[in-house]
Amino acid sequence: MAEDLAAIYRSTYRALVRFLYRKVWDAERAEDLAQEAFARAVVHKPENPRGWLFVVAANMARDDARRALRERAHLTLLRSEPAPLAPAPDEALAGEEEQGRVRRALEQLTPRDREVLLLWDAGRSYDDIASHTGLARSAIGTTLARARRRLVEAYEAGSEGEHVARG
Amino acid sequence: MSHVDEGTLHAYLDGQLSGVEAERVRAHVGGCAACHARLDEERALIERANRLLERVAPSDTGRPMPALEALAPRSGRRLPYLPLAWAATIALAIGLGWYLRGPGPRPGEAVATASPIPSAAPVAAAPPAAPTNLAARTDQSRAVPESRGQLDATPTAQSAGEVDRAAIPPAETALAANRAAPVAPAPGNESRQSPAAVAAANPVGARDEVAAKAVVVNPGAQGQVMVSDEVAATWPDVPLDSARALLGGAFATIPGLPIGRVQASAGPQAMVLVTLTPDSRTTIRLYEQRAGADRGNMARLAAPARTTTQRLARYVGSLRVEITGTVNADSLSRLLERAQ
Repeated sequence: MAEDLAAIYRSTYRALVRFLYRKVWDAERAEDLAQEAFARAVVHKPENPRGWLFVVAANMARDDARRALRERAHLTLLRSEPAPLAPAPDEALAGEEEQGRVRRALEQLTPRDREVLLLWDAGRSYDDIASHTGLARSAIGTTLARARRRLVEAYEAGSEGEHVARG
Repeated sequence: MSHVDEGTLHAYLDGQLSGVEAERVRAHVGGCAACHARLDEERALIERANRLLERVAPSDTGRPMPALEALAPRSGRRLPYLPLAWAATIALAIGLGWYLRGPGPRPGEAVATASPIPSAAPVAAAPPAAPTNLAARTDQSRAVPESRGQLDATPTAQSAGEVDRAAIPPAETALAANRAAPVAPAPGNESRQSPAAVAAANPVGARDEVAAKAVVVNPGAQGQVMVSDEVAATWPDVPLDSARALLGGAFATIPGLPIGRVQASAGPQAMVLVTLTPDSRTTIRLYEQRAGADRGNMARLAAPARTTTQRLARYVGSLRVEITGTVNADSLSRLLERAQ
């Protein structure tokens, strides 16, 4: 192993949790998955542990999302009667609502744009992102620019829509 | 140098250009008002995007970062799902409920017709008649489309549970379980919970009638009191033996979850209410009546719950299960995930 995994664990764990959280939207689950990724790294001893960890984590999160998709279908089937729309958020839920808006905006990005943005936000370099996604290094800046713009636009569009809906 | 493109500006601002490239950008922007303005715009955009991303940063779970050694290789290591184990248990019961609600046995539908009967076993505890290996039987999704149209709060006599399980030869039961096996998840999958931990109830199949009804899941309803709570609150606590006597057998419970209270209503159609509290914010209520009792009381109990904001309705066999508490959407989703 080129670099001590324990050191990487200390320096990268939080970033990996952060990366995973935006995929599974559950802080504890994100920690669980990050720990699982490191546990696998201990076994596999990858040459480039950081890059490897993010790839493995992304795969685990994707599997998680697939399960979530199945369960949503199940949820729909189990709903015996049309549920009223989500209740109007009160002040206590304002923070949660805000997070929901950002999350919805993030989910409007294309998977590739989102991945690049999340990797950058988790502290990965353009080189790392290029090797993770298979994009040319020269395309990372352009992709990030687009992802950032779309995130902001989607967020603002979502907020406007909500204000209109609320009257 | 021609104008700097957007991607290069972002790479520049991100500090991801080589020294030479960065110097070139700097030189151009210094002499080009348009690019200088764009650089400021892109910088503002990056800051804006970063602020948005910061709002969806993971909250502090309060869990310490475990030592790397503690994560050390363990074959078949399972992800820590334990806090949701109870949810899995209920979810499985929900799934089983689907089968119980399904159409009665029809020829030519091997799995669908064979499964309901053995599926009833996990929710059956006492007396443990016809032990059936159902360890693999967790995927209920096949039955769902058929049952879909029947989802309402009205008890239906059209239930697979009507079939007297005692009449089924053990060999056939085992066969049914085997047939069900291919749709079961692989053992060791980290997200699956052992069906052995499944909710226990009176033997569904042994009853003269199974009124398959609904589990009421009421997520995120903190402080919201369901009307049935109020009804049940007036029922006196009863000793366990009295509850058993009322039901003519053991009452339903969920292995591993502490029994908070056992209450019973009065009258000939008495209902037993067992309250379980898996954690301080969650309450699971199991309503049960003696086999053959008029289910009307239970149905009326269910009716007011329709007014709650979010509701999933399910009865498992003749057992009415309600979950109230601050089950968040994630937990609920996972709970339902386990039903598959």
